[in-house]
Amino acid sequence: MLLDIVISPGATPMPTSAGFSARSNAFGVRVQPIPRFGSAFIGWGLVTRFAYAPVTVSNLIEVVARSADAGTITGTGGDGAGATITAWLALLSAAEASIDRGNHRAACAQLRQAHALAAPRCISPVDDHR
Amino acid sequence: MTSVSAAASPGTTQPLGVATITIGEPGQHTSVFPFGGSLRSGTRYQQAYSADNFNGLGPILISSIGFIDGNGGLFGTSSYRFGLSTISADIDALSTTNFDANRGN
Repeated sequence: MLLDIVISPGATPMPTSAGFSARSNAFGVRVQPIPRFGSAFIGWGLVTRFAYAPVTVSNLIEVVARSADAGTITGTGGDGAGATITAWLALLSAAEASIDRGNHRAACAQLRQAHALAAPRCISPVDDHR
Repeated sequence: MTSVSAAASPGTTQPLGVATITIGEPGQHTSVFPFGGSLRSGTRYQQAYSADNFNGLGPILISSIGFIDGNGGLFGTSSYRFGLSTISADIDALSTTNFDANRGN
């Protein structure tokens, strides 16, 4: 997994710079600094803590809803952007309801629709509705 | 070093953030890179994590990312953009010049 951080030009120098725990590459982290800083930093990485949850439809709905509320994801289509997000959430919710009813075939179809709406250029999910 | 903790959240219906994983070993050193020092402006920083660090977790949704043991220093006023992607390249084979090419899906 790759973490990509971009800090825009124009940051104001602070009297005390923010620093965090780091260590060498012994734990499998590689750092790729921009070339002007040379290779001295390669092999050093920030110790990183991830909060995670299993992939479930309800978790996915939570992520989408939170992100939409925070504005970190937006729909496309100008004035219809909000409707796109609403439709996406509706499809996910429908899939969750189908799963609850044991109708996995319908759930797969709804998730495929949701996927097509959200990321048409991504790899299609496995069509497994046993 | 990787450590995993199943953070208990009894009584909550919040489905996310049910566990944390820490990659790396705290308490070794403090680095101001990439958020401070002389590197603060116009910086792009990439850090790759081996799949070995996530073994046994199965498919996951990452709800937050954090760095630990901060030194109390301040961030410069700027825009900070964070992106996560899954890559298939060996983490030792990433380009040090073409950062866009390193990004995955």
